[in-house]
Amino acid sequence: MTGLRRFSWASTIATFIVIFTGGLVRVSGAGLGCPDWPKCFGRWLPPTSVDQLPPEIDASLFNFTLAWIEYGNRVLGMVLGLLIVVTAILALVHARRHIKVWLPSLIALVLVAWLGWQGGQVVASGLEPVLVAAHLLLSLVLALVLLYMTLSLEAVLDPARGRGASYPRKLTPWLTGTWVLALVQAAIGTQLRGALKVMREVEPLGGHSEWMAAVGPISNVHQMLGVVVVGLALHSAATFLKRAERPEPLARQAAVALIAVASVQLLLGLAMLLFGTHALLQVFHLWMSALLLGSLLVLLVHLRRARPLAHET
Amino acid sequence: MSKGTQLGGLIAGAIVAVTLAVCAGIVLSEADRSKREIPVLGTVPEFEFTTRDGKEFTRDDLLGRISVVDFFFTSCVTACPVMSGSMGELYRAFDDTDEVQFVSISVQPSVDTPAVLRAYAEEQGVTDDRWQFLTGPLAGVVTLSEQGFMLPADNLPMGHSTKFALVDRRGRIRGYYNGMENKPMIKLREQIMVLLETDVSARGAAASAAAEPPRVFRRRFYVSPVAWTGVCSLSVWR
Repeated sequence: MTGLRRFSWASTIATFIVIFTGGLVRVSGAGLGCPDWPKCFGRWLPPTSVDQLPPEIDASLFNFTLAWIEYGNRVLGMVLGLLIVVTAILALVHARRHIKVWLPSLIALVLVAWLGWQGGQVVASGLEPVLVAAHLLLSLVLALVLLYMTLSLEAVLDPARGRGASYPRKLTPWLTGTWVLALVQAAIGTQLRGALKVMREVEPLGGHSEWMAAVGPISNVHQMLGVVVVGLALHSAATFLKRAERPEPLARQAAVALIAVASVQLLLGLAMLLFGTHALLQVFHLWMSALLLGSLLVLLVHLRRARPLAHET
Repeated sequence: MSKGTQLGGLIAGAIVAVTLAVCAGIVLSEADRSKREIPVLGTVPEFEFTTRDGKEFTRDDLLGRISVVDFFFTSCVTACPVMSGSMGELYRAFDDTDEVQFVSISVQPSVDTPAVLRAYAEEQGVTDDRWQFLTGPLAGVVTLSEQGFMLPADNLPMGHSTKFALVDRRGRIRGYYNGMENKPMIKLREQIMVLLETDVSARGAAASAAAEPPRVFRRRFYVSPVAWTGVCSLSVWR
C-alpha cells in the first residue's frame, strides 16, 4: 500500500502544480501558443523556428516562447494523467474494500481524461471564455477529489491516528458553508475574468479602471463575497485552533495553512483592485483559491470523522 | 505539533511560494518580451490611389500611423463580408485613437468607383477617415499587392488575398494575418497594441498634436531573465 500512498499524494500535489502552470499559460497569453491540439503546429514537439512549420499552418501565429509555455502545461497534464492512471490501478488492486479510496480514484481518472480533451476544445474554440472557465473549475474539482482520496487513504492506513482528537462540532456547518461559498466565489472569479477579457478586446485602449467600471456589478459581488469567504475561513480556522483537543497534525496544519492562504488571498484581491490585474498577481490569486478550497476540505474531512468536544455531547 | 515545527512549516511554505513567484516571473517576462518582438517583413513602396471622397491617398498617408491593409471588392459575397466584418470590429475597437487606420484597396476598380465605395463605407458603419476605401488603376493595385505586399493577385477580382497586412508608422510591413480566421485577429489586435507603444518618435503630425500617446494598459514586468534564471535554478537545486 506504500506505493498507493505515494502515488496518491503525488497525484494530489501534481494537480495543484498543474493548476499553477495552467494559470501561467493563461496570464502569459500563451493559451493559443499551440493553435492546434493535440499536436503543436502539426508536430508532436513544438517547432523551434518558423521554417519548421508545415506549409498549411498560418506562420503568423507562431511564437516560440508561447508555444513552449503552452506545450509545457500540456506535458505536465499528461504526466498528471499517467500518475492518476497508476493511482487508480493501485487503488483497485490494494484498496478494493475501501470505496472511499477507489471510487475517487476512478472519478479522478475520468476527470483528468475529460480535462485533457476539454483543453483541446479550449484551443479549438479560440479560448472561448466559458470553456476556459470550465477548464479551471474542472481542475479544481479534480484536485479536491484527489485530496479526498488521499485523506481517506490516510485514515485507512492509520485508523488509530486522531482517535483521541475532538473538535468543536458547531464548526462543521460553518466550514461547509465557507467551502461552498469559496467554490461559488471561484466560479464568479472566472466570469469576472472572462468579462474583463471581452472589455479588453472591445476597448483595447481603455485602462484598468475603465474596464472594471464597464464590467458591471459582478466585480462588486466578487469583492464582497471575497471578504465574506476570507472572514469565515479565518474565523473557522482560529476557532479550530483554539478549541480543538489533541487535534490530528494534518488537521492542525490545514488550519494554519488556511489562515495563511486566506490572508494572502485577501491581500492579492486588494492589490488587484488597487493596482490592476497584473499577471503575477493573477496567477497567485488563482492558485490561492485552489489552496483555500483544499485546506477547507482537509479540515472538513477531519471534522466529520472525529468526535465532538466533551461538553458538546 | 510544536510551535517550532509550525513556524518551520510556514517558512518552508513561504520559500516555496517565493521560488514559484520567481520562476513564474521569469516565464511571464519572457512571454511578454517575445510578444514585443515583431519582425520587419518589408517596406511598402510608393503608390497613388483615390479615396471614396475623391481625394488622393499615397504611401505618405501611411506614415506616422499604424495601418491595417487589405484587398477586397464591393460585390464580393464570399470572403470580403467576413474580412470586412473583422476589419469593422478592429475599427470600432480602436475608435479612441487617430493613430490606427484601416485601408481597404479595391481589386475591381472598374466597378468600385468613389461613389460605390462611399455607399459601401456607409454600409459598414464607417463615419470618419480612420477607415479608407481606395480605388485606382488595376495595374497599380496588382503591383502593390504582388510586389509591395508580396500577396498574390491572380484571377482578380476573386483571387485577391484574404490576408490583412500590418504596417507600422514608418511604412514597414510587420505581419500578415488571415482575415477569415478568429485567432489571427486576436494576435493582430495584440500586435497593434505593441506597435502603438513602441517607436513613438515616428508618430505623425496629427498624433503629435495630441497631449500624449494613447494610454495603453500593459503589464510592466520585464526583469533580466539571466538573473532570475540564476536565482530560480539555485533555489530548485538547493
